[in-house]
Amino acid sequence: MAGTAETFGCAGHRTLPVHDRSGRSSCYNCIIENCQTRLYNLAGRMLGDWALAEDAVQESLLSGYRGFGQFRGDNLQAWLTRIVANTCRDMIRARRARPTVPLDPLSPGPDQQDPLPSAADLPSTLESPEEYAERRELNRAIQAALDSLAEERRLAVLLVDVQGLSYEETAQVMKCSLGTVKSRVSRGRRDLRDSLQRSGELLPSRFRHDY
Amino acid sequence: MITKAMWPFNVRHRHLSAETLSEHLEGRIHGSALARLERSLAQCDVCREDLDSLRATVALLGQLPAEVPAGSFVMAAPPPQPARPRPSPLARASTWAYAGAASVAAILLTVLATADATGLLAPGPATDSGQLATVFEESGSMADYDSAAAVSLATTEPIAAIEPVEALDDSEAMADSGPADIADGPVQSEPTAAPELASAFEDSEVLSTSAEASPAATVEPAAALEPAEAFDDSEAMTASAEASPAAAAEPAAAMEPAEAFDDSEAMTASAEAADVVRSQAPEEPEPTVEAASEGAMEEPSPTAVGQVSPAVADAADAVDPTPTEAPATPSPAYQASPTPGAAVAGPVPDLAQAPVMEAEIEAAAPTAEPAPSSGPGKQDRGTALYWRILEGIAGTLALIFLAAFAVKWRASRVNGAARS
Repeated sequence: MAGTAETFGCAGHRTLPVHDRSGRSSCYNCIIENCQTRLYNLAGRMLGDWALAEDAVQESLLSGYRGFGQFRGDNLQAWLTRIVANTCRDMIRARRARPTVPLDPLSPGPDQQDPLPSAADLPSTLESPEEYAERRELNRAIQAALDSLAEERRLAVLLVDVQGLSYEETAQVMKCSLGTVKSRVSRGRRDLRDSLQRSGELLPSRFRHDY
Repeated sequence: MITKAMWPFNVRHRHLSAETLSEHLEGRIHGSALARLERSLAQCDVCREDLDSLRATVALLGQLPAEVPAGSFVMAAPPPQPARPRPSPLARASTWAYAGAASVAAILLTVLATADATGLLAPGPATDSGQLATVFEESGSMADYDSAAAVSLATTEPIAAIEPVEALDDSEAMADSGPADIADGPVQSEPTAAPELASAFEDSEVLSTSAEASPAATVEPAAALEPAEAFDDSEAMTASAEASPAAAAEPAAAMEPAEAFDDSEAMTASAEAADVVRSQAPEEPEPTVEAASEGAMEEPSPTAVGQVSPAVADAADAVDPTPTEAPATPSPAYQASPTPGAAVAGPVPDLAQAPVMEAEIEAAAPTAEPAPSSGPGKQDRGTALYWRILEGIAGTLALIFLAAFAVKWRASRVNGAARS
């Protein structure tokens, strides 16, 4: 049941046929193209480190390819997201066991007051330097607040509020009940708000202005 | 029934929980609950602030810019499947299979040990097996096993029972007392044979002294060379030579059985057996002494009975049998041959004249192999040894399975922790 580029509609990449448990075949590179940005963002926000996020996504996609035969074929996005979430969790635990000095601009250390901007932080032509600086500062504050969240709450908030998944899909990814998802999301939001308020980023005059 | 919502005097307002506010943000609260919530929000500034801040937080999260990966994760080639070696069947077996196997082996061991302790496994003469079991458990070594055999041998002969049994408790003392007794006897020594004999042994010093002290060590050197190969420990040889004149008189016969022995102390035990017989000498001089010499020769290993007998017969043919000069003394009479051609056994060892002793010696057989001339006692001991080997196997298996279970269980816990 080897598919060709035509059958899968592949363009611009090599056809990499995979078969799920039900025997349905698809091109794994097509799947990667569809969801890599989403997975990369999830990993980056979970880890607070974009270089590490690349490794996490790479590793997750590799293990997804190798274990594609176990995929039941119901929700590919939830399945891959779950793999990435597990990889991130492993990496967080490994990092916690072996702490290193963060060099990432999103989570600067105490000595890094003015880190180099990452590719995502580069100023666009549409915004003024002040707006750019403000946006960068806000992004960093949000990431710092996310980092302060408990692991499960962070994942729940990221899946629901950043990735836009429904509670049901989130429950599928996190392999927990709907009630647990609700609880984790609400508490994650509350913790995040508290953290942002402490850092002074979530002042009434501030969060009401238009982006 | 008046519910809290219906109560007109709502003095204490409870702030809305983060969960309720979160649900409200997502538009999941409907109907009367929504109306109640909106009433609360209208009444309470804190709740309103809460909702606003939460809404702002969610809005901030939604406006987070999507980062674009530096490069695409598309694979240029199918990644190689990791070569995962198929685990061996032992490794694939369930953790609890090992636990079960360990339990079964432990139960088997318990059953065997219990049956053994209660004497169910070795049916036979009660005295024999009982004493054997006791002595064997205390010592555990082959030499003591043999002395235990000597004990049982002694007990089967009521006349000789009391004294030898007490004396046998300390086998070394018995061995030491041997030469003294022999020295009293009319035994001729041949000192020239001693150095030659000594050169054949590793520990020459000990042996030469023993040869000098004990007239019994009048041994033909050629005959001594053969047994020397069979012995690792020359000290044992000394002991046997000292204690058992009979063994020294016919070394070729005495040493052949020694091949069956690993532990040199066993020879000492044979000397004890000789003394057991010697104590009977006053009653029956002629046949008992013969039996003693024969017994001493055969005692080390009754499996070699067949080998010993012809050798003894040859010795009897070759040597001029000198009669015993002092039959009443406890020491059996020996006369070593001055000619180096043959070793001398004092009395003619007529095997047929000592049927009782032969049976006793056979009863003292320490080997587990079913010898052709095996008696009932021998079978018992063989069976007992067989059961003990089984117990050992069961115990070892229990330990191995327990260790395997522990390793598997630990590994499964580590894997489980990593997975979760």
